[in-house]
Amino acid sequence: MSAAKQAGALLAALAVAAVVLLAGGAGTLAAFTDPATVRAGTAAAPDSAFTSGRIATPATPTTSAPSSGPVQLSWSATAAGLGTADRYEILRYTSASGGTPAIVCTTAALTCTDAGPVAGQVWYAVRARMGDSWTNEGARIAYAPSTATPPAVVIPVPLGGCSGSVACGTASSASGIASVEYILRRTLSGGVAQCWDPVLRWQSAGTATCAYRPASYYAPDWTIPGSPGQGIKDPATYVLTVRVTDNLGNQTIQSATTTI
Amino acid sequence: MAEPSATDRRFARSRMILGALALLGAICLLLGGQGTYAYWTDAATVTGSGFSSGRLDLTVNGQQGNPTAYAATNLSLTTMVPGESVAANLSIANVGDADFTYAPTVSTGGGLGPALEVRMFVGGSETGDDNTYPRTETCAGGTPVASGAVAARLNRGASQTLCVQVTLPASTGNAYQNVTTGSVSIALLATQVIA
Repeated sequence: MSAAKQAGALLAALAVAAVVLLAGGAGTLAAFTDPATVRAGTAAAPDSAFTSGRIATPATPTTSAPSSGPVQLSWSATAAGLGTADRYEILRYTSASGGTPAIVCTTAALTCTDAGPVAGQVWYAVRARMGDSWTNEGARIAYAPSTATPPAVVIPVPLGGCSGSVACGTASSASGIASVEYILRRTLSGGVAQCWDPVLRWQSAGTATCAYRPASYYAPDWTIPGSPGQGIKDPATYVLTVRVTDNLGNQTIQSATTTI
Repeated sequence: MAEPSATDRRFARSRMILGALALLGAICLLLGGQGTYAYWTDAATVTGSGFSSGRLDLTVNGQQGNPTAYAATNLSLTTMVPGESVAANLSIANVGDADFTYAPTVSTGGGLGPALEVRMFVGGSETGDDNTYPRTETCAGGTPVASGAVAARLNRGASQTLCVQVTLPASTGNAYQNVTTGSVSIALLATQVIA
C-alpha cells in the first residue's frame, strides 16, 4: 500500500470516529423545564371570564302620512351601552310576516326616506346591526300609500227608500273606509230650512244643526240613523250630502236631491 | 533471466538468517522482559463537600402557576359585543438558577371560545379603557408572539412583560349573541438554555 493510500485510510477512520462521537453525544444532553398556567378571570369562575351580549331589539319605526310620494321613516336608537347598534337597516316587506325584505336604507342615523315607488300596502321594520354579522329586527308597521282614486259613493235617488233608516247607500275604497258623514237638509214650501238630527229630528237650520254627523257604516253600506217615517216624508226639497273619507285620507263629497 | 551466482545466493541466505534472529530477539525482549520489572504504588481518596441540583423557576406576576393555575382576574370581559377587547399585562420572571426560554400556548373554551381571538405581545403594555362602550383595551407596542412559539429568553434573575389581548372580532357570527360561557388559558413552558 502506498503512503498516499495509507494517509487516506487514516483520515477516513478519523472521520467515522468523529461522527460516531458526535452522534452518540447528542443523546446525552438534557434540559430542565418548568410549566406554569395562566387562566383568565377569577379562580372561582374561569369558565365565564368571557361572555357575549346582544343587540337590543329596535323600536317599530314611524311613517309619514300616507301619500303617493316618498315615505319618511324615523325610529329611536337602541338602548345606550350594551347592545347599542352601530347602524340600522330599514326593511320593506310585502307581507305582515315572513318574506324576504328589500333593504331601503343602511344608516347610522335615525331617519330614512323610502323613495319608492310603494305599490300597494307594505310593511316596514328596523333591523339593528353590530359588527359584520350581529342583527336584531324589530316589529313591522304597515304602510298604505295614498292613491289618486277617491272613495266611491253611491246615493240612491229618490232619497228615503231604505228600510230601518232615513237614507242609505254604499261607499268603498281600496284602502278601506275610515268614516261616512252626512248633512240632510230640507227646505219647506215656506222657505224654512231644517237639518236632520237623529235624536231631535228636524231642527232649524244653523251652524250647529247643519254640521256633518256620523253615519253608520258596515262595508259597503252606510245608513243615516232615524225612522224612515219621520225622515224624508213631508213635502219639501231634501238635499243629502255625504262625505266619505278612506284610510289614506282621501275624501269624496257627494250630494243628491229629492223633492216631495 | 540469468541464474544467480553462488555468491548472490549466499548473501541472500545470510540476510534471511539475520532477519530471523532480529525478530526472535525482539519477541524475547517484549515478552520476557515484562515479568522482570515491578513498581511501588500509593492510593488516596478525595471526598467532596456534597452536590445539589439547581432549579428552573418561572413565575407569573410572582406566582408559580403550577400546579394551581394563576388567575388573571383583570383579563376578563362579560357581555362582549363584536369589536370589543380586553388586555392585561403578565410579568414573567426567571427566579430560578438557570437561564431559560419560554413558550406560551393559548387555548380557549366554553361557548364563546371559538369566537375569541387571543394575541400576545412580548414587551407590550396594556392600554385603553374597559369601562366605556365600546370597550377596547389593547396591547401597545411589543413583539407579537404566536401561540406555541418561543416568546423570549429570560436569563437568571430577569423578567419581562407579556401583554395578552382577548378580542371578540367584528366578524363574530350572529349565533354568538348572548353566550354565557367563555374561557382563555395560557400554558407557559420554560426550557433551560444549555449554552
